[in-house]
Amino acid sequence: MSTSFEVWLAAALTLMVLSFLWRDNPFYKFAEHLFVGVSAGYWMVLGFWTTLWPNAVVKLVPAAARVTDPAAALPDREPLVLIPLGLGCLMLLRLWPRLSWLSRWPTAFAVGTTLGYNLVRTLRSDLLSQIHAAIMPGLLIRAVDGSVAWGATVNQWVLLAGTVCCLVYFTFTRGDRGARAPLARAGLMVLMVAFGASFAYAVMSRITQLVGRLHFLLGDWLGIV
Amino acid sequence: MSDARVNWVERLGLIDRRWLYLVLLISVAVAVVVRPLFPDTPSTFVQPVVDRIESLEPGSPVLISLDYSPAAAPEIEPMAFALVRHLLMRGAHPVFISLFPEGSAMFQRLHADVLAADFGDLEAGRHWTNLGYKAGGRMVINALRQDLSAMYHADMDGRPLADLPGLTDCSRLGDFSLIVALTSGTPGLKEWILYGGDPTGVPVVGGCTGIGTPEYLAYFPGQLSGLVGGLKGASEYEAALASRYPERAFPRRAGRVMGPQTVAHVVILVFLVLGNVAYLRGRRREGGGGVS
Repeated sequence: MSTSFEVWLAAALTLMVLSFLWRDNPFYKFAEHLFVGVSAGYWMVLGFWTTLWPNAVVKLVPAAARVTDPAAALPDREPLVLIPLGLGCLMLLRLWPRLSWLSRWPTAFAVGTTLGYNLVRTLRSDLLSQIHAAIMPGLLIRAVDGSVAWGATVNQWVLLAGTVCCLVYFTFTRGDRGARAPLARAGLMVLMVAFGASFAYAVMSRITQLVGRLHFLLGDWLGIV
Repeated sequence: MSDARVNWVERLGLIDRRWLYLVLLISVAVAVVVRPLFPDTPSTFVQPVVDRIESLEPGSPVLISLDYSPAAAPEIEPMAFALVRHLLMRGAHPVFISLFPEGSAMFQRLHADVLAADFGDLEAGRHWTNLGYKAGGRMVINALRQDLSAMYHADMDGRPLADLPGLTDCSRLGDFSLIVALTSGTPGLKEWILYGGDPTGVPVVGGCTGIGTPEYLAYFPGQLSGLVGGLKGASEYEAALASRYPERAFPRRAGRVMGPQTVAHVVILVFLVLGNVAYLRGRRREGGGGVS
C-alpha cells in the first residue's frame, strides 16, 4: 500500500467520483466542485504563463523574458502586439453593460479572420478531398500483380452506396416518396450502423478510463497489481 | 412456459442498474488483477502505420504532436510509447511538440518511461528533440508550414534550433518525413491533416481515443496514412512490434489493459442480451406482440 499523501488524496477523490454511480452524494459534490475550481485555477495560471506572458508581456517588455529564464536572450520589442492586446481588452468589456457593445469588434475580427482563413482549407480538405476519396474506379486493381482487389472493390461500392443513401435521407425538399423512399430508408440504416459503431467506440473509451482508474487504485494505491 | 419462468425473465428488466455497475466493476477488477493477455494482430488501419515507420530512413525527422491530456492518457499513452519506441529503433529523429498545454506533462511521462528508461544512451537534440507547447492551435501548424523558427527559437532545454544537429535539414513542416499526431480533442489530428499534411504532402499518421476514431477514419487512406484507434489500436501496434522485434521485450501496456477491456465487453454484451430478452417478453405479455 502506498505511503504517498498524493496517491492517497488521488485515491480518495477517485472513490468520491465513483460514488456517484450509487447516487448523488456530498462526497461526489465535493470532488466535483474541487475539480472545477482547481481546473479553472490551473487553466488561468497556464494561460497566463504560456500565452499572455510570452506573446504579449515579453514582446512589449523584452527584459521580462529573464523572469522565467535568467539566461534567456532578450528578444526584439514588438509594439504591434498592442493591437491584439487592445482587442483582447475590448473583449473583457462585456462585463460592463454600458460598454459591452465594444466587445463586438474583437469578436467580429476573430470570426471574420477565422472564417476567411479556414474556408478554403476546409472546403478543399473536408469536402473536395472527401468526394474524391468516395468516387473511385469501378474496379480496384492491385499495383503489385495487376489483379482485381475484390474485397477493397466491394468495400468501396458499399461506401459509395451508403454515402448516396445518406445524402438522399438528408434531402428534405421533396418527401420520401416513390423511388426515393427505399434509398432514404437505406440511408437511415447506414446512419444507425454508424451511430452504433461510434457508440461502441465511446463505450470502449469509457471502459479504458475505468480500467485506468482501477489500475491506479489496485496498483499505485493498494499495491495488489 | 410457466409463469414462474416468465416472471424470472421479466424481472431481469427490473434489476436496479447499480447491481449491473457492481458486477461490471468486480469483473473488471478481477481481470485487472489476473492480467490476461490475448493475442492481437494489426488491423488494416494500424498496419500502414507500422509499414510507414518501417520504411523510414535512419535519421529521418518525424514530427510528433502530443495533443492529449491526462484524462486521455490511459488510451493514448500506450500507443505513444509504442510509436516512439518504434521510431527510435528505426533510427528516426522524433521531434516532439504539443498543441495542448498539458502536452509538456505528457512528454515528461514519455521521457521517464521510454526515452530515459529504454533509450538512455540517445542524446537530446541529436537523436530526439523536444520543442514543447505552443499556444495557437491550427495557427501554429500554419506557421510551422512556413518556418519552424517562426514558432520555436530553441528546444525545451534552451538550445537554439541552429545548434541542434538533428534539425539541420529541417526548416519547415514540409522537411519532415512523417507527421504523427496523437490526439484526444481539438486541435489535433484533424487540424494536422487539414493544415499540415494536405498542403505540404507530408504523410500523416495518427493515434486517437476510441471516441474520436470514427471521425478520423473518414480520412483514411487518402489523407491519413494510418490510424491507431483507441486502446485496441494500441494493443495491435504493440503486438506488431513484439512480432517484428522479438528480441526487444517491451512491456505491452495496452495489451494488458485489453484483457479487462474484453471482459467488460463480454459482461456488457450479456447485459444487453438479457435486457432485450426481458424487454421483448414484457411487451409480448402486454399484448404488443413485437417492437414498434
